[in-house]
Amino acid sequence: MPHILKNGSVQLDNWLMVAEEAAEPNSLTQGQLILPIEQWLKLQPDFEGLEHTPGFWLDAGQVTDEMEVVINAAPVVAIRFTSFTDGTGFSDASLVRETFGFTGELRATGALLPDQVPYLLRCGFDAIVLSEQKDLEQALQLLSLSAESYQGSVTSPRTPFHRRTQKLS
Amino acid sequence: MYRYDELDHQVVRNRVLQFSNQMARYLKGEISEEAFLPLRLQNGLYVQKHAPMLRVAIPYGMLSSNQLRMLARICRDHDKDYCHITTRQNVQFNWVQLHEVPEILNLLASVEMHSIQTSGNCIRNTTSDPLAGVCNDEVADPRPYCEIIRQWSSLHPEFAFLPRKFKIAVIGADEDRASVRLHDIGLQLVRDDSDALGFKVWVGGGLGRTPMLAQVVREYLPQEQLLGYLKAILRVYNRYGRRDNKYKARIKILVGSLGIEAFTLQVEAEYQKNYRDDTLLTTEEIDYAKSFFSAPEYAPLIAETAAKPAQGSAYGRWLERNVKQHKVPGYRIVTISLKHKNQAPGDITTHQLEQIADLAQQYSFGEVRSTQQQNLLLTDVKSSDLYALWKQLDALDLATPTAGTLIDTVCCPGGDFCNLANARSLPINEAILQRFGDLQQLYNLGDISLRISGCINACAHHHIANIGILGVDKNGEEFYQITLGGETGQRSAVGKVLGPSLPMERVASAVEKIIDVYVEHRADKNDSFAAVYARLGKAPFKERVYASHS
Repeated sequence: MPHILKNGSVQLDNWLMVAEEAAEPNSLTQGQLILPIEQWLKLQPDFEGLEHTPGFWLDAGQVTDEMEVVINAAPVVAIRFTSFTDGTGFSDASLVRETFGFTGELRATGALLPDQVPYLLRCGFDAIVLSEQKDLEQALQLLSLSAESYQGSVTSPRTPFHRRTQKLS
Repeated sequence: MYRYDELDHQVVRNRVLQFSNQMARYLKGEISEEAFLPLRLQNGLYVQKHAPMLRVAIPYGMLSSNQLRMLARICRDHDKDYCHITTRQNVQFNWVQLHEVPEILNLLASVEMHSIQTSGNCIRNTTSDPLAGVCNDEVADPRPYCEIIRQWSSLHPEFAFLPRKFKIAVIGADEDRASVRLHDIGLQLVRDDSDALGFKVWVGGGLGRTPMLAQVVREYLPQEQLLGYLKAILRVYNRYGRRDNKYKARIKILVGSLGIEAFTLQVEAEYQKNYRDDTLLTTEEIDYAKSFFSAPEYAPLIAETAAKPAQGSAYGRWLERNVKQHKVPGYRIVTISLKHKNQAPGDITTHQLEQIADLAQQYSFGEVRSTQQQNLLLTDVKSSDLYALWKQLDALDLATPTAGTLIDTVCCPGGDFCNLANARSLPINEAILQRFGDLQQLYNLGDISLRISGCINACAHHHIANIGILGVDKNGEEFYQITLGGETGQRSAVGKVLGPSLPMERVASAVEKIIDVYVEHRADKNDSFAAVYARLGKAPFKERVYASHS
C-alpha cells in the first residue's frame, strides 16, 4: 500500500485513487475510492448507504467557482498537479478552503517536489502523495525547516506584523 | 531603516538551511537539473556563461554601511573583487562558485540580507523611490509599505509557482522614480477627499517582448486593504494566467486579453468573496512598520556656508549634476556615480564598497540607496560637507559628473556575461562614451536617457529610455535595434522602434545623428528629447540615421 504524508507523519494510504482510464470499479464497496470527478458525478446517486463515500480527484486548474456544492459533498478531494512548475493548484487549494469552506481531506498528488510540501500544507492541503517514500521523508525534514512564516496558513492567516504588534500591546 | 527581529532572522536562516539541503541533494544527484531549476532560481541563482550568478535583494534600495561591508567581503572572498548594481534594486555577483552559495547566503543573513525570490516565477523584490523620505513631492513615505509587502510576499505559499515573474513597485511621490507603470503591479500612495491614505493601483505593466504600460484597476484602495487586494490580483493571475507560452505568461497578457474592465471585475469579485478582517492591516501594524523609517536626526538649520565654486571647475560640475535639493534645508542628496569610464555601468569594486560604507557613516547616517539608473545615493549629506565628500568620491572614481546626462547610461552585463543575451552591450556603451567625452556638450544636451539591453528580456529597461538600444541576433551576428521616445518619471511612455537593426559599428554614430537631429529641432535647452520626439515623430531621425546607407 502506498504512503502519504498526513498529520505530520508518513503513513499508509487507506484511499485508492482510480485512474481516469481505468474501467469503472466493479463495486463501490471495494474500499475507499478516489474517483475521477466525471465518474464521481455520474455515480453519485449510488453512494447512499455505502460504508465509505468515495472522494474525487481533478487536475489543478479545473476547480471552478461553481463547484462549491460538489466539493463539499466529498469526504476527500484530490488535486493532481500536472507539472511541479504549474502552481495553479496552490490557488485551487486556498480557494477550496477559504471560499468554499471545505473541511474534508484535501490531498495534493501528481508532479510535485518534496520541497513544495511546506507550501502545499500552508495552502490548505492536509494529505500529500509523492511518488517515492524517500521523498516523503525528505519533505518531513524540510518541514522542520519551515516552522516560521510571515503569512501563516489558509487555516490561520496573519498579516506580517500582527504578532509583533500583539507582543507590544 | 528596517531591522530584523527574531521572526525575520528565523525565516531567513531557515531558508538558508533549506537551500543548503537542496544544493547538497543536487550535488549528490538526488535532484534532477529540471527540478533544481525553480528551486535555485527562487534563491537568486542563475547559471551564467562563465560561472553561476547570484542576485541579492536590496529591499526598496536601502543598504546600511554594515551591509556594504559585507557585500565587499563577499566580493573579495567569493567573487572577483567587484559586483554589479542592477536597475531593480538588486546586487549581482557574477563569479560565485556553486558550492559556496550556501555560505554566502549565511554571510548575507548575518547582516539581514537575502536572495529570496530575486529570480524565478514568483513575486520579486519590491522596488521603490530611491528618494523616499527625503524628496519634496511625497504624499507619504512608501518604504513602510514596501517592507510590509516584502514580508507578505516572502515565501508566500500560494504564489511561489506563478505563470511568470511578478514585480511590484511602490511610490509616494508625484514624480515616478520607480517606473510603477512598468510593473506587474504599481502602487502610488494617494489621499482621498477625507485625507485618508490609500493607493492608486495599476496592473499589467512590463517590458520584455511586449512592452506595456500598466492600467488602473483601482483609483483608491484604503491602505488597510492593501494585502487582501494584492492577494486577489495574484490569485486571479495564478488561476487564469497563461502557462502554455513563456512569452505570453506575464499578467500584462492576461489583462490585455480580458480587457482592463473585465479583469478589474474579476479582481474585485475575488476580493469581495474573500474579504476578511484578518487580511486587513491594523493601524498598529502600519505604525509599527513606519517606526523603522522615521527621519534621521537632522542638525538644526545649518547655515548654507558652502562657497560657490569657480564656474567650470570639476567640483562645480559635480555640484551641478550629481547633487540634488533635499526637503530639509541645509541637506543635499548626492549621487555616487557608478559610470566611470574604466568600469562597466553599475559595477562596483570591493574597495569602493568599503570606502562608501565609511563615507555613508561619516556623512549620511550610515545608509545608501540604489537607483534605477544603477547609481548609489547618499540621501542626507550636510551642504557644508559636500566639498570634503566630493574630494573623497573623486579619488575613488565615484564622482563622474554626468548624472542624468546621456552617458549616465543604464546597461545590462550583456553578452559578455549573460547566457540569455543575444549581443554584447558593454562595447556599445564604450563606443558611445568615446563620442560623447565633451562634458560641456553633454551638459548642453541636458537630461536625456540612454539604456542598452543585450536581449529582449530588457534588463536595462531600454523601452523607457529616450534612446533605447536592444541587442538582437541576426544569423549569429550582433545587431542592434534602436527605440526612441521612451520616458519615465513625470510621464511614462514606451519607445518606438526607429528602423531596421544596425550592425555594431554603426550604433554609436547613429546615436550621434539622433542627438544632432534633436539639437537642431529643439526650441531651447528646456525642450526635452521626449517633447521634440513627440512633436516630430520618428521620420527626421530615421532619415538621418539611415540616409547614407539607403
